[in-house]
Amino acid sequence: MAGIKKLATTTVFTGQSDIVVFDEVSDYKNATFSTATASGASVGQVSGDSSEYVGEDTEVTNWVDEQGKVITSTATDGTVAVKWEMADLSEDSVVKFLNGVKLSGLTSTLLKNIKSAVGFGVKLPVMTRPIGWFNDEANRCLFLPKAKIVSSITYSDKHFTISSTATAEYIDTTTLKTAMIVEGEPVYENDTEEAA
Amino acid sequence: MNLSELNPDIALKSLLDGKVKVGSDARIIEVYAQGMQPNSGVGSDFITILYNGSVSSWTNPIGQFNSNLALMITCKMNSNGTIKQPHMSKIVAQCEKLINRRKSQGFFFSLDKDNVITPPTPNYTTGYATTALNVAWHTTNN
Repeated sequence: MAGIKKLATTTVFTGQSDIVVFDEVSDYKNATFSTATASGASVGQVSGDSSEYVGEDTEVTNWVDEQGKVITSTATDGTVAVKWEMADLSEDSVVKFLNGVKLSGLTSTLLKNIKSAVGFGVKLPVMTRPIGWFNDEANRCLFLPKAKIVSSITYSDKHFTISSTATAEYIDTTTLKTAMIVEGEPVYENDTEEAA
Repeated sequence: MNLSELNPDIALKSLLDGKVKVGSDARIIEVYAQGMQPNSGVGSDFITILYNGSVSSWTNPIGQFNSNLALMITCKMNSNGTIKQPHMSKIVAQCEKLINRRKSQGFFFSLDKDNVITPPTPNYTTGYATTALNVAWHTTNN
């Protein structure tokens, strides 16, 4: 008997268990999913409730007649973008995300016990990397092979954090698309249970 | 998922059953789902799972549900009324590993970052102390 087919919900994407920033891709023309995900690092603990999707919706612009009736519509594609605030404010994270530089040999008569220093705010904190946002079950990933990641230092709830926004840039190869949902699990170093 | 299948307490219990052990003899701690804890004969340590808040469906028609459970870890106190803190901590550590970000029988469990754990609370009438873990759950098709 003819009828409307009901769609059963079989796959959902919920929450965030980790965000992984993969190493820079030197040659996107010849990059593959395999090379784009060859090595990378988690951003570690993310400040609670700071993870969010900030992509823009696809927009429709109507061309209307004098009476307001739509003659035709044109669509402008949206964007895919995510945002998070990472808790780690170590020198390495400042260097990586804020384009900082480690400083050495600092001395002062008014500051004591100077162990290290890192500077930032000189170079624009921007980089292009593949990133992966894993769902709470860590078995599905929103993968952006060519994400423009811009970061800044921010202060909320008495914590300095590094706030980053990653926006997908266009890419279309056999195995890499601007945005991808990958059914797969992260493999962590020194974690035999996760890697099994 | 149908309402009749909505039994996250039983799914959570299955993650813990026979796996939480204490003492030098690796004694297994009994785990009770909602309403299944007897009023007598419980051991010196036991775990009770209770619903913690109302159950909601984030889809219409209903089908994808989420809410919280309270994992109540209860341990006999010392004879002088003090809490066996290291003993309870060992049980908490095992539970965290067994349930946090784990899937069971169509449910996904994770420790809720809000009110994740309560401090051990003594009950001088019963001689037991209880600490609770706040476990968020949602149904999953994955």
